[in-house]
Amino acid sequence: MKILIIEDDPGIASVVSRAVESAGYESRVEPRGDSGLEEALKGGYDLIILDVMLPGLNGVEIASRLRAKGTTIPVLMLTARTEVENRIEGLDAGADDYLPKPFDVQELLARVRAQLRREHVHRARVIRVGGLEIDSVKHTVHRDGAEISLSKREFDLLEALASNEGRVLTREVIQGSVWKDSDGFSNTVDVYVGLLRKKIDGQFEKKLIHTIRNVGYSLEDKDRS
Amino acid sequence: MKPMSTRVKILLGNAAGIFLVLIAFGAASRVVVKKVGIDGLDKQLEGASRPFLNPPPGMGGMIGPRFGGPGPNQPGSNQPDPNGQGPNGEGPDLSGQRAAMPGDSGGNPDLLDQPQPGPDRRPPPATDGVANLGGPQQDLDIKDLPVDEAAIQQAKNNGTAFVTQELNGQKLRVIYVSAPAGRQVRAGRAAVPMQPVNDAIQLVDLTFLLLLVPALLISLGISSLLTKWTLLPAAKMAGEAQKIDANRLEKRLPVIGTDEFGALAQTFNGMLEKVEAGYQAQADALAAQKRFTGDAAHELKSPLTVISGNVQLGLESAGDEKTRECLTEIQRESAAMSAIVQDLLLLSRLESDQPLNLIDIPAVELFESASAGISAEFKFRVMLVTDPKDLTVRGDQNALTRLLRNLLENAVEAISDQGDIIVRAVKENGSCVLTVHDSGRGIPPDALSHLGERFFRADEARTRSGKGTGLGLAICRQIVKRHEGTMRFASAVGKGTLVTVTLPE
Repeated sequence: MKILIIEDDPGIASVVSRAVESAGYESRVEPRGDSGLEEALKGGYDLIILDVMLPGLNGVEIASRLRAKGTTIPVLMLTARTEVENRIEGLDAGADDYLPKPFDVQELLARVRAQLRREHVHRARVIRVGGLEIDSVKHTVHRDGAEISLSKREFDLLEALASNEGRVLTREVIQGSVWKDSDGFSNTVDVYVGLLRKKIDGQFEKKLIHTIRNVGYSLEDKDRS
Repeated sequence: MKPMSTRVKILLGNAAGIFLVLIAFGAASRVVVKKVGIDGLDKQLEGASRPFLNPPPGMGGMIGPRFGGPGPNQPGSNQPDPNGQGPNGEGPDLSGQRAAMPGDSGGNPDLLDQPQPGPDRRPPPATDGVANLGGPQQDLDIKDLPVDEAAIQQAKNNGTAFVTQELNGQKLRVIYVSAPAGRQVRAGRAAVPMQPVNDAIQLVDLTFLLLLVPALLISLGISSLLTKWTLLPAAKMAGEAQKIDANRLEKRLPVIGTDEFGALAQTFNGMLEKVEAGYQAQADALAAQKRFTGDAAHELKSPLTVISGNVQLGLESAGDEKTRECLTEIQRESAAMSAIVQDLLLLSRLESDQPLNLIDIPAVELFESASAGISAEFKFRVMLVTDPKDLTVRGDQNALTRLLRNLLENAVEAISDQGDIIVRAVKENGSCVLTVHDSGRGIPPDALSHLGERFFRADEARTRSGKGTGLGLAICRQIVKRHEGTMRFASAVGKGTLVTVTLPE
């Protein structure tokens, strides 16, 4: 497997390329944005590690141009800028992952592996159900145009219900997929559904979140008795 | 004793001035009234004495040696002999000659006492040789009034003299006139009671007294208005000056006119210029320092990544034990540096005016994310108590999660082996109150005031062994500040620590 590294800092370029090579991949370093894009367009690479702040052409620009040309090579962005807007900007432009500096080289390798392994089944970015609009990348929720602020977990719960639109999810399933790595409290799911309801359905006549007694919850755009 | 304020000084001064003027005016009125009154009496007396001084013509033998009264030989006559005889009237024997007097039968028994035509030629009564003339008040009898010698003397010199005498408790105004040449009596006098004038003066005095209090009030009133008007510019300046604070240092006082107040305002404005400049310089320096910290931290990111990456690679292919040990040490220190850099950057971001993303976060979620990974490591309990169960905290999710995590990490640090950490979240008076209580070693009292300072550690000896970067509480403090809340610490050495964070909704 060949990996292209577009990075101008020689120290980082060197350590990343050595790390990648010690993991068994081939690598090539391009220190400038313009030459990097050229090299990427030549083809033959399985993954591109891309820095954002580059001389010549910045990383975001490179990513969008690559996508514009139709390439589907996984792109992993590195950058010193950590603000959320920058992350979104990068992911919007077409990067598949975003790793802020300083990063752990091992983590980088793990993400590289994940990207190379990935089947390119992209989850739909925006889920729409009955006036509700859920953007998985930006992590925003709108209903009938008005923005609704959700906490991270509330968002995860809504996303789980919405991507299983029409299906009833039991408490166990919800706990397993949303509360992945923590034990959580026993009736936390109920508490969260309650909170979510207040925020999503509270102001609106049409209720989207439904309780199915003794079974679980679902999100659907029609009345269920 | 508290010194009198300027306002009071001016007020009292003005009031005293006005009051004194009113009093002087009153006193002057009294004097004038008295003078006019007495002058009036004196004129009346002059009128009464005129017949004495210039008797009408046709009195004939009346104007002669024997003016008035029956002859000195007449019994009952107590008239002194104008020729210088004593009261017994021994003198030249003039019995044979006698002027005809009205009403005087002249000793002729044949002639009846019949009223004779002509003016009343009876001589006026006299006291000690001074004729008592009839005054304006007919029934006033002054024969018992002693003669004022000084007045007689003065009358002889100047013609008339006025004195005030008292008779039977009644004050009288008396005129003394000296008798024209050749008269039998030396002088004449007339009197009039001073009562009317005294009544008038009393009336003035009474009015005066009655008006005293109103006058005082009026003068205080006028003075108060005057003072207010005078000090108005000062009051205005004070009002404007109050509006100036650290956020509005560019404000200046209005300069009204070119008088003392105007000059004062200008001087004050000059001072404000200097303060504003100094303040600005300080703010600029602080901002520059913050920028530098952020920039420096930013610059350290890449070198740290390189070090860490190379160390890891080195460890992979390191052969001997010693090299491995060295590299492991380097890795640990490099990680510590990275943590500090991360925290500095976070602090820098929190100190900038970047807006927070405020949402209602379930307390349960905050707790779960903040305590992830903690309780697994240690043997103690970490619990959340919240009422109601679905209580939400309003704030930035990332920031508040970080806040709680830092507090929990500190709590874990404080407990050596056994202990509890209890997190409580409740709503109180429209704010959310979050408390973290640990039963650990506590914080000594002299360290309490330094909590939240960068790199401050309560127990210096633990600097190197602890996990923290030294910036944990500084970050907490900044997060609380950005949310416009408060954070308080209560601690007892050996007992535990309670941190209370209050966040307004």
